This record gives sequence, C-alpha cells and structure tokens, in this order.
Amino acid sequence: MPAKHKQSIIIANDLRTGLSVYLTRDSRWSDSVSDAEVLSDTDYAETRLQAAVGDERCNLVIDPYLIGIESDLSAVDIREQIRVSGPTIFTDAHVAVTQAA
Amino acid sequence: MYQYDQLDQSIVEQRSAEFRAQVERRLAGKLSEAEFKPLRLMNGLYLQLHAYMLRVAIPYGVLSAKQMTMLADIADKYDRGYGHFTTRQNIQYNWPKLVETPDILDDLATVQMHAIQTSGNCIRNITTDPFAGVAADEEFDPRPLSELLRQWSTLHPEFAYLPRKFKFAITGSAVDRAAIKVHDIGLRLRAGPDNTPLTDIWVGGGQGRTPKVAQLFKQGVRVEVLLPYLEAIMRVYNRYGRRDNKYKARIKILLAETGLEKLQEQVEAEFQSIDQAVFSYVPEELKRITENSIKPNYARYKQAHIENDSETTKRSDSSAEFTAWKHQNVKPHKENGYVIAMVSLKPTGGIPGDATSQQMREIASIAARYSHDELRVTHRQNLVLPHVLENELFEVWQALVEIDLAEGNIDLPSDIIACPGLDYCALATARSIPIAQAVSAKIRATEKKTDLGGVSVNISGCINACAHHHVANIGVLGLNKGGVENYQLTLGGRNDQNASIGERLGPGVSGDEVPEVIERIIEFYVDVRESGESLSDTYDRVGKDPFKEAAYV
Amino acid sequence: MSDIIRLLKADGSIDELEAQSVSAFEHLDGETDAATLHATAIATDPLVIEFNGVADGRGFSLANMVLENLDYQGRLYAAGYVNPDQLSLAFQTGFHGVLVSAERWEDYGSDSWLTALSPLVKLSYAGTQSPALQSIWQMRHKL
Repeated sequence: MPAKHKQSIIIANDLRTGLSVYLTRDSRWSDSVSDAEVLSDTDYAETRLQAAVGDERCNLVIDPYLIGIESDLSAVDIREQIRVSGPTIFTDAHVAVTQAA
Repeated sequence: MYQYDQLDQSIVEQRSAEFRAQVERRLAGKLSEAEFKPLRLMNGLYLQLHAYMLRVAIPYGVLSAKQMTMLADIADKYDRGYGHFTTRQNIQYNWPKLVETPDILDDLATVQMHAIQTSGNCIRNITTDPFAGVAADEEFDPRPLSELLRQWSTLHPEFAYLPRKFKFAITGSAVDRAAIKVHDIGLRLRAGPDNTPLTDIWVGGGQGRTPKVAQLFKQGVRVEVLLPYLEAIMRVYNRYGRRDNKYKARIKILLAETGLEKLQEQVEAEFQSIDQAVFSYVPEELKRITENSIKPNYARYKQAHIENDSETTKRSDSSAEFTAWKHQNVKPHKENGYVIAMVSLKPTGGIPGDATSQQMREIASIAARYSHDELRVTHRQNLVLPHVLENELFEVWQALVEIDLAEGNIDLPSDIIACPGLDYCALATARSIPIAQAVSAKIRATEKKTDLGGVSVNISGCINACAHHHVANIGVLGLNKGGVENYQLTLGGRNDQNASIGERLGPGVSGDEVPEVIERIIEFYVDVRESGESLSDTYDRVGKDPFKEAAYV
Repeated sequence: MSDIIRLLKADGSIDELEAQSVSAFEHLDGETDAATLHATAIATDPLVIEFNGVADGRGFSLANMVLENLDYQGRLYAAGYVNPDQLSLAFQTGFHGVLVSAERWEDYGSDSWLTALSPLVKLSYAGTQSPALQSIWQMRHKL
C-alpha cells in the first residue's frame, strides 16, 4: 500500500478501547487523525511502521498498518475512509428519507 | 420462559470470571493478540472496523422485560446508547471497550444472560421460530428442545474446536419461520404416531460463498435419542470436516464431497457405537426444563383486563393507521382472545435492526404491561410481543407510536434484513445499511398504496452473506470492484419450507442505482403477478429474462 | 532450556518421571482411522493422542471414541498443541493427563500452566467423560 500512494499515515486499534488510533510524529498514538504523522518517503514510512509494530508487541495497539491518504488527510481507499471518519449512515431515519427524496 | 437454576447461573458466572482473568493477562502483556483472539471470540468479542464489537446471545430469541432493560442499560453504560439485533436473534454492541467487557458480562450474568459461543468455531446460538409456543399453526413448541440443545452445546468440551462455526435452527410448524434449511443442522419437530414428537434432521444448509439448501438427512428421530444422534453427526464432522481451507470447512462441503449416503452411513455407524445410556436423563431434563419455565397465565390475565374492552375497540375502529399496522404486523395466536404483535425495527429510512436504549427500555415496559413480561427477537431483525390481548392491541399500538416503533411493514419489501456492512464490519466489501435506508425510503410510499406482501429484500455487504441475501426474493450483495462499491442482485430466493437460492440477475450496479433497480423489479412483479404469487413464485414462472429486461433500462 | 517433558494430570499434579517413559510411545492423532484406533486401544496403555494444531479439535472426538465407544480402561494422554486455556477441556473430555514439551512450557510460561492446572472447576452440561468431574446434567440427574 505505501508504495502506491504519495502519502500515508499509520493506523491501528488501541488495545484497551479498540478505537482507531494514529501514530504521531512524537511516537504517541492519538485518536485524532489530524495528529497523524504524514509519511511521504517510502523507506521512512517502513521505519515508522516497524516502530508501530514494536508498540503492538508491547501491547499498546493492535494491527498497525499504513494507509494511503490524499492531501486533505482523507484516506484513498473507501474502507479506510470509513474507518477514519466513522459510519456513513444516517442515524436519524427522517434525515435518510429527506436525503432519498 | 426458562429460568436458570443455580447450576446454570454458575456456568455464566464461571465463564465471566474466566474471561476477566484472560483480559487481565492480555492487558498485562502475558497473552499476545494471536493467543487472545480465539479466547475473546469465544466470548463474542470481535475487533471491527472502528472498535471492538460484543455479540450477546439471546438464546432462541426469547427475552424477558428485565433482560431487555438490562440490554438498554448496557447500551447506555458501556456503549453509545443503541444496539443492533441480528439475524441469529442476538444483539450486538458496536463500541464496547476491552477493559469494560468483563463488567458487561458480569452485568449480563445478573439477568441470566451471556455472550458464550456467539463467535468462534463452535456451536453458535440456537435459533427457532420467533412465534414458538404461541403460533396458531404450531404442532410442537420447540422451546424445551431449544433449551436442551442450548445446554448441551454450551461449553461441550468435544465441540469447542470444530473445523468451522456451526449453526442450528429448530421449528415446530409446517410453515418454517426459522429458516431451518439454510442451517448446518435444521430440526423440524413434528407429530408422530400417537402425537409423540419426532424430529426430521436436515443437514448441510448454509449461505456464504457456497450457498446450499440443506438435505433431509434422517427422518423421524425420537427426541430421547436425538442428542446421541446429533453427537454422532458432530463427531463425524469434527473428525472429517476440512481444516485446510476455511471456505471449505462447513458441513455443507463435507456433505457435498462425501455424498449424502456415505455421510449417513458414517453417522449411523458412529450413532450405533455411542453409549446411549449416557443420555438417559433426556426425558427427565426436558421435563425439568418445562417445569422451570414460566408460562403466561392467560385465563387470569383475561379476567383482570377484559373490562376495558368495548371502549378501546370503538376508538381503534376509527384509526386507519392502526388498522393498517394491525393488518401487517399482527399474527394469529393459539390462545383465544390473544394475538402476536410484531414490532418492526425497520422505520422508513431507518437502520435495520437498530434500537436505541430508550426504545429498548420502553418496549420492555410495554412487554411487562401487555405481553406477560416477554419479548422475542426474529431472524428478520424485528421484535415480537408474543402474548397481547386483542382488546389491548390499540393501547399497545399507541405506546409503540410514542417510541417510533409502529411501522406497519412486517414482511413487506421495506422490512429489509441488512448486515452492518462496511460502516462497521472489518470483513465487509461494501456498505449495506445506507443502501437499505435508501431502498426503504424509496419503496415505503408504494407499499402503502399497493399490496407488496410476498417481497423480501436482504442486503449483505460481502460474500459471507450475513444478511441472507441468497434466500431473499430480492437479494443484494455489496462487492468492491476496483475500489468502488458495486452491488449484485439475485432474484428468486426463499428462506421458508420451500427454501431456494436466488439467481444472479445480471451485472452489478452502483449503490445509488440500487433503490431504483429494486423499484423497477417490484413494479414488474406487480404488473405480471398472478393471484397469491410471491415475487419468487412469479420469477419461477416467467423466468429471469423479463425481470432482467425490467430491471436494467 | 532443558528438554524436560511434563505430564500434567487431571488431579492437578505434574509428573516428570512418567512423562519420560510415555513420550516414547507411538502417538495417534486426528488422522488416525477408527480401525487403527480400535486396535491400538486394545493393545496399548497408556494411549497418547497428539493434537496437530491449537485449532485442531479432532483429538477431543478421538478421546470420546476411545473412552465412550471402545470402553477403554487404560490411561489416556494428550500431547502436542494443547495450550493452557485448553487444559480443562482435555480433562473434561476424559484425558487423564496432558504431555507438555519443554518448549511449549516455556512459550506459555509456568504461571499460565500452573494457573490453568490449579482449581479445576470447569463446568459443562454434557460431554464430560472424566471420572473426577461431573457434568451439570450428571449432577442434576444423579447419574
């Protein structure tokens, strides 16, 4: 995935809460995508991923991997877009009806 | 409703304590994710796209008001104020934290509930007819047998590491509302000579990437020897089911590769060598289960509540909305003066199967007041008030209107089954909920004008077919084609006693196009249907081509 | 790392001495057919059933066939891929002991094994062949 994309970020699940978290420049895990370290160099991205895998071994996070992003931080792949921004559904049925009309 | 004794209670408490210790070991780093994953899955805890997901078992879909209230409390205390009812008659929470899951299991144990075997390669939650024990057309109440099977399969040490998951369904009626023919094992309980209960065993049904309708495996098995016979099937499956490829590991593949006759021989040989004396307690245990079950006292309730009857009937006559709801959502009850009231969890444009904690709490209090304290969950992701006095139906409807759960669309096209899809599920390839919302919003108006009974729409977000799209009259399967969501349609499926697998109609369409394609298919069906035909009947009669022509313009 | 093999027994004890002699016996596994199983069960004591992977539950069915269908009266041991969280399943099924290699003992750590071995109170409704453990149905109906 990193090779295909100009820019990527590292996403994982927090062990304790399960929520999506992002690897930051100072090697923390943040639940806000805006804190994510944007990686544009493939080799460097690989180095950072190794650091993330280290955090998995230390049982901080689960399944870290790189996702390709656009310049506005939105993910390239639809699955990752939804993962980053949350469910796309209308929680209010009335809104769904209006949208469909 | 079956009530736990101290031993049943000790099982759930023991399991909860065991999982708490496992979570502690995981958090302390003594278990890796690879080691922990099978343990959490056996307790219904998945890791999904956004968070953990906890699937709580609702054995054969039966809930007390108190249990439903607890499910609401859990949604508020540990999750985000809602829950999702599933096609296995269970409930899922989408946002629980690992650190709080042991507390959730403890809370569930206080109301005789658990999350045991809602995942993993074991025998999953037993499902049955949501009208069990109350349907006017029922031959045998399948609930005592369902409870017997729940107990037998719970933590059975021999069957904790099967080649793949294993699903049972039971029905006691000729009209199959439990979809037994698309289960690994489907049991049809029926009356034998002298009205003794016999079971017909159907084996090898299933959905997923290789959909199969079950084959009649053994007819007329007496209930006393049913458990050894099922153990024989499970043992043969456990020994010979494929373990090299998870997509070929279900019993339907073993059946296809071995052949019906040979598999029957293997099972028969195993059955003959099992010591049946070990199961001598079965009649006694069934009797105990029945005795430990609370039965609604209809006569006493009628006597206490019958006086306000004439006035309510008068008021209800004047409400067209009530009449329409009653026509669609109310089913005949075996007890004179009673009806079965179905509560649709498919409001127009809503999320199929979702209920807010407030709705859960209110429906629990409606059940406590009007339905002998009992609720059911259906495999079509709806709820049932199983014992409602007909004279109080109008009041029930009014109470449902208050909480936005009075949609009169049971068994209509907008009564859509949808899996969580790509909005939640880590395995999904496309979204299903937003498609269901758009389809429902588009066709609900037509339903109110034209009789569209006999059209089912099921939408799955991947080939695993959690929303049973193969056996819908109109099935929708969401795929990912080159990074874009794409939806395939299948027509002609059925999930009842005449179960059949739908046929692919033609090329896939975009998500935006799905509602209009479905609308055109339904319009064509309405144009050409003959009296009493479901969409699948019409499809069988006229064939694929005219439907295809109508669907793609 | 020592190459010691431990025999973890259903009564909670660990026998290292017996483990050395048992490990030399021919092992049966999930691939074993019914005829071989039958023939071996008649001639062999102790009988060792090997688990070929942590998700490979065939050994549990084999154990039931030996104990229940063939009425085997000797000692029955499990070996191979049985992890601490599966120990109680093995004992419930009726295995008298589980052979744990030094490598697997180290992998999971002695803590995990000892914890899993200590209070053996796991319950199930059915399927329990262990003489030491009653199933819930046995308790209810005093079988």
